[in-house]
Amino acid sequence: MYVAVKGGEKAIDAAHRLLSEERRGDTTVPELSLEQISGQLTLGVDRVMNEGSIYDRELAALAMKQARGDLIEAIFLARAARTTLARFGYTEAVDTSAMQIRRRISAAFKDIPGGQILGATFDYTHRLLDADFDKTPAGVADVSLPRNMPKVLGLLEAEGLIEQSRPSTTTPSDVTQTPTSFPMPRDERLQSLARGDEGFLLSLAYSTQRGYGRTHPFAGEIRLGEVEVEFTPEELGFPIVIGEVTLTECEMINQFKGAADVPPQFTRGYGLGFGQCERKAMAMALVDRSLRAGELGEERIAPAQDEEFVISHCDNVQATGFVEHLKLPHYVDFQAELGLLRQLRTESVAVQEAAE
Amino acid sequence: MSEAITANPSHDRARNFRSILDAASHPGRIYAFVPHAPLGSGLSPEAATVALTLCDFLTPVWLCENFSTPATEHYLRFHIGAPLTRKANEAAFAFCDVASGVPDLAQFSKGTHELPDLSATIVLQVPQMLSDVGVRLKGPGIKNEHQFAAAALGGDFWRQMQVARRDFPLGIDVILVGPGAIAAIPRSTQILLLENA
Amino acid sequence: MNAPVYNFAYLNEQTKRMIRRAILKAVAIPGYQVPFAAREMPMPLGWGTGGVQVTAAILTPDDTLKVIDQGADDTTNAVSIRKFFVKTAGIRTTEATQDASIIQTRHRIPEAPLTENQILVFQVPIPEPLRFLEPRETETRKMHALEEYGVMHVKLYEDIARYGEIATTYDYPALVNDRYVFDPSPIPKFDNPKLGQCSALQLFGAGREKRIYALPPYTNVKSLDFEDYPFTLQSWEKPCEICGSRESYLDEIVMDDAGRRMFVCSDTDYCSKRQAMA
Repeated sequence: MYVAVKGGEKAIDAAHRLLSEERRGDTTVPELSLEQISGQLTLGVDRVMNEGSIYDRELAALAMKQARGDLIEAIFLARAARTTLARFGYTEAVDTSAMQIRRRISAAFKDIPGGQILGATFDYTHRLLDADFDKTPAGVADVSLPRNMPKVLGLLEAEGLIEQSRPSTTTPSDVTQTPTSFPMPRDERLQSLARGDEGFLLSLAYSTQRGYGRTHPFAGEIRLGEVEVEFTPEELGFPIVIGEVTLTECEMINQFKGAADVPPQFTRGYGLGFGQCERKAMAMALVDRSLRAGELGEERIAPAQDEEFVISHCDNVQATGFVEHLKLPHYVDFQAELGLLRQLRTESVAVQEAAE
Repeated sequence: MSEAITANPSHDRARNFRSILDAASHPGRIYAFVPHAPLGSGLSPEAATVALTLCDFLTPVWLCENFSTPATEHYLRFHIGAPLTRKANEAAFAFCDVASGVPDLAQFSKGTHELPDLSATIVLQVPQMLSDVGVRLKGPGIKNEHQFAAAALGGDFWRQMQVARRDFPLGIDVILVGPGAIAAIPRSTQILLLENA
Repeated sequence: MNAPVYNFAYLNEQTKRMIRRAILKAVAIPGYQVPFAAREMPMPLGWGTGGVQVTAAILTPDDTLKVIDQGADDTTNAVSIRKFFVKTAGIRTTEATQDASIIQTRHRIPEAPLTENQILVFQVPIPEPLRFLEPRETETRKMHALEEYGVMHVKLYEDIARYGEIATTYDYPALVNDRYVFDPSPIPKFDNPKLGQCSALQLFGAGREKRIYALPPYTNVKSLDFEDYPFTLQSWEKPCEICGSRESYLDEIVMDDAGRRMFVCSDTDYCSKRQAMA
């Protein structure tokens, strides 16, 4: 006599206990601390903050540890934590031209006011795996870098060579608070890209460089450093500095465009992220520019120019949720398909036999 | 707006919302509605409770003349954080005291063909509501027909509702509150007038 | 870093208000998909977050909750979601359909007819019935606005030309209140007749796609078909091997390597009640 399979709850509890054990691993090996993760797996923490849309290093480090190093799982944990937090309001727009620079480069000019400052970068390392990396510390020059380094694109703007960057006249919407629809205004697109999957955006950006919607990019400026965050409490009525965040900003100089009544100018692409996230900021800037195709009168022929395609699929928490949901039971619907297929095959065989 | 939570206010709002949902799911049916609202709103406790349950900083609120007092405006700003608007077509919620007359329903947003949900909800404060008399209602939520009447809502109001109904799926949705009671007539409801209504 | 303090049923009040407003508009416009600012939840998107947000928004401490997946209370995801609500809301739960005031479901409608005191909440993966015919939201939105459902009728017609019948067995599209074509979620078409003129309110939540829609009680729902190819239900040759029902949807269980199969009710509560009566 068949008895329906039960025990789903027990199985889940057992699975969670097993996960706990495997997550900790060999107990004779020291446990990771959040300080170690935040301080030494810094760029992983930066990515979790970015795509988790929450600036909190400790929270992101905990998420990475709880997720056993799976960054998308960690991003999911960060987003879920973010949802529960009380909202006080919105900060003033941050001023990246007042950034305390740690790294700042431009590919567009050999030299720029303030200089090309490499900062701490992998860029020119030789990718040779080395168990003794960092064992012989080099002395670091003690040079305090100025704030308020002028923006390279500002210099081009002053000459009228690049489209103006104008402060927005409308309040940007918050994609996490109000439902979005297509076509999307640029502020909502940028928010979506900022929290979008680095890998997806990287591939799309790469595709534009290989001819799928070419935008002739030059890295006008990439800067990394700390900016102050200001908030205006209603009781005070004036802004106060509540802290600072580390940001990476990328401004791309793209294909120039003119119109009948406007002389040609370079166009812009913009990328911004928490922490040190150059690959992401650059990819974001390339995709931002690509998605401006409609506004700039360019024909949309490439995937990176397809706003609905890019924005609908750039969120890795949504993507992994739906891809992995295929693991859930689907046997009722599969049964329905089986039933139909068996019936169609019977009919097909009958038709063939009748023909013979 | 503080999000500090204790169990009871959350439970109260949940029960209030279920009453509203019951009413919307069964147009014209009158449900008990237990108000939970701080005093001083200038609205009836039931109307204030609807405001506290459904409105917040994302929902512009329009007030009819009777309700456009400094006390009510302060209450809505302080307890709910709702932005107030004098432009009826910008309102997500409109609060009207039927005692000061039935509002012109055409002034409120009906939504668009692609987004019919971006439309107003009208909360009418009435002195009394009755079932089994009045206009006949038909449509989703109603098995066969249901009769409904409210004091101070006469032929003019119901004819306005019939006219509004022609734009379905565009339209406005109405919530009616009386003492200890709530009912609703969403835009999906067909209104059949009695001959002498 | 502060540990978050959870509200009743997890969602904060502002989120609940937002979802509650969307639910009311959905009820006012039967079958129309209301966009809502769905939140990230502690379970993955695509695993029922829409259903969970709807349930969390309507739940009161007075409710008794039943959660099923594939018709069964004991499937892993149903267990997980039920535990979530016990943990965050402390409400009573049940496996008995008739004792539940709210039933959250994935891919089935319970066999037992529902009552006016019940709300059925569906978990929906893809709310848009036209999605696989037209991937663009900008286009499908216009089709609904203009009541232009030609692409769907063409698809059904092409099935008949190719297979001799309509080849959709679940997610079967239906016309609601003579206005909107909707996707009833991946319930088997077997369950479609239960949708129309139901005594209970039915709410549909798609978290990842950010849409809520509704069927008020006693709403007309007509599964799409053609006069000469009317809508038909699935059937099985044998009854349920446990309770003998010839009227319920049956799961196929593979018994051994030789391919022996048996068929049992997908609705475990329905089956066990019948078994108890026998």
